[in-house]
Amino acid sequence: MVVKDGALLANGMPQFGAELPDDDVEAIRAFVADEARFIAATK
Amino acid sequence: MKLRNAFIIAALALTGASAPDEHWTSYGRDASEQRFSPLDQINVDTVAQLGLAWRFDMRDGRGVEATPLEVDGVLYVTSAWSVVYALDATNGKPLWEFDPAVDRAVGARACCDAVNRGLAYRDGRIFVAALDGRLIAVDAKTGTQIWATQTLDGGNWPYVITGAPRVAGKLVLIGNSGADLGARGYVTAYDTDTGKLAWRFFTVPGNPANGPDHAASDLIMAKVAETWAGEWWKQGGGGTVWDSITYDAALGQVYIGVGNGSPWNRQVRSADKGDNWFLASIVALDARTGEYRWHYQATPGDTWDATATQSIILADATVAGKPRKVLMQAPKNGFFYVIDRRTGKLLSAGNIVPMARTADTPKGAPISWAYGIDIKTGRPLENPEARYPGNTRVMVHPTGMGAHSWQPMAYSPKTNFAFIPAQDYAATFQADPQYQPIPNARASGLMPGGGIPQDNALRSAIAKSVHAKLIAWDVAAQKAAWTLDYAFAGNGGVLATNGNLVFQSGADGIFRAINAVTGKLMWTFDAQATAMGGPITYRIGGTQYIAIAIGNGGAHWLAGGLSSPQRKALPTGRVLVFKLGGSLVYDRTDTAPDPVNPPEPVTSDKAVLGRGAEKYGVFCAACHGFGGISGQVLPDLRRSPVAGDA
Repeated sequence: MVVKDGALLANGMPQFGAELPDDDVEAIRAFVADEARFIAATK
Repeated sequence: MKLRNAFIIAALALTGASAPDEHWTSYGRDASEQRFSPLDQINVDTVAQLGLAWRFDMRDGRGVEATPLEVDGVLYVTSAWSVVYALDATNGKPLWEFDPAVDRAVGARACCDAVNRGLAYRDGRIFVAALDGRLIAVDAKTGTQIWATQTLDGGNWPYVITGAPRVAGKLVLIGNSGADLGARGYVTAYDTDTGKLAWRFFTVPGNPANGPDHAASDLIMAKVAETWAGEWWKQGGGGTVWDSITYDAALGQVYIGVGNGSPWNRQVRSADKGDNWFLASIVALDARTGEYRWHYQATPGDTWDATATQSIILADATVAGKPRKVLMQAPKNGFFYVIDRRTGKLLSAGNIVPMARTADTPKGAPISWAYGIDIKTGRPLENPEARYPGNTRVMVHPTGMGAHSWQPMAYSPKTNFAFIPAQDYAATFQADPQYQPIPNARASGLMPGGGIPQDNALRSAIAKSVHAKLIAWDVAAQKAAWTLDYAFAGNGGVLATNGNLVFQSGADGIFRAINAVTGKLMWTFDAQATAMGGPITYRIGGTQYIAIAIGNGGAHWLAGGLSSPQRKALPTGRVLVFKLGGSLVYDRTDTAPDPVNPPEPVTSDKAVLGRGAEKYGVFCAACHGFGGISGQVLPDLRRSPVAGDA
């Protein structure tokens, strides 16, 4: 919703629905989650 | 490396339309933009008594980049979303607030947050440029709007405005931003009384098929177009005038600092040919008509986001025994230039960060885009490898964040030093042969960056490779007189005073007073956030005040989390004002980053994670941090529950 549908447009965040297919959005989410797990493991 | 030249510059003095000693009436205090105040009550002997006098909290917590103004006892300052506050300059009492009600969706077009760097003043009117492109005149006493005009009618590009307008006689000038996303730059002058357009100057040529622009730039544009190739107009060409505009009353000129190309990569932008006037240049224009007079291009054929939009400071100088009117600038590209304002001729140059030939650079270290300046031609001596020809991938410095970014430098005629908030970043450049523009994403023409290896030792080493310092630059000698090292990049602008002090706020949130002659640290205050714009000073009723507007903002704080202190931004922007004997207690705010609650594993497939890192680099990193590491101004997605719902 946030990336594709512009749920945070009112905060000035772009809407990337047309440029980002669902599998790319999922890949971004996986990358961010992986980074989160990394800092959780090393803090 | 020091560049030798035949000139000796000495005894520089204040010039241009000056402000009364006690006030700060324009962005750089007066038209010279020196950010030097003649006030000296706060000096090297008294500064230890400096304390907080009052504080004002803004409504919004987004980035603050403003330099305040002080006129007749009123302090004017802007916050994010172009909101203007008028405060009693002695005690912070709010007098009025002007909110231009910017549509928040416009923020999607802003490369580096919804920031605003400041205001202009003339004859009882405050001028603010709103993020959405309106230039607005406001009654300085009441905050009532007098007139407003939409300035973003120069083409269908993703423009915004974050810069401060400047007054030049009876005109008020403003440019805009957008070259990082793809835009065509221009600057426009409006009548201060009516808001009527007086002249406009485009900085790069448009599509030849569209004919002339019917602008002041038409007279020079055919010659400008000869320096471009290919179909440059498809992404606008760039060259936005997003920060520095300096008025020279003595010569009837204005100097505009012109930004980077759209896209960054000249191979894509201009078939890898031509100097691409007036990208990365200082252009002198007739202040009354906007007609071209001369230009100096610091980075011909820019291909590294090497803007020349940084502070343009005017001074009168004795050069080789002759009086000369000069300007000085330290653009992003790592050099410091002294230029004759009458002719545009380069008088001297020196590098403010280490620059070397590729052959003299240790293997594996970033290479310099240039290793010197030919003082006769004024052109850089480039390392050709730095242009990443073909499919090469090179680490180049200094790059996009700039050896000196927009944070204003100051100049003291007492010491003949320029005080430069300097830093040295390297970045990887490789052309993207498949590049296609994406709306609201970086127009770089480069291969997207991926993630940063999950190795804390390596990450620490990368962070430490970013060097930042305050440089006291001896203008005559073209070398550093002293430097003050910082642990992080993204430090604030500078104020110099007749009290032999310079003031600067660090990315660590510490506000500092430093001996202007020796570089000795004299006083500190833990503000918990950075004054990105410059501090100002003014005097009311015999008391000298120092004011800062704090709230981390700008490209470094959004994208450069790896080299930031990982401190969460304050809940709102603030104005802090100091005086000798000030005793207001400053309550501390918890700025620890949000806790980490990682979502369940989505996948451990390395190919998917790699693609995610690449797409994150294209769509997310500019605001949420390279490699997923936020500067803690906009949400750190690793710490956000939103990461579970993309």
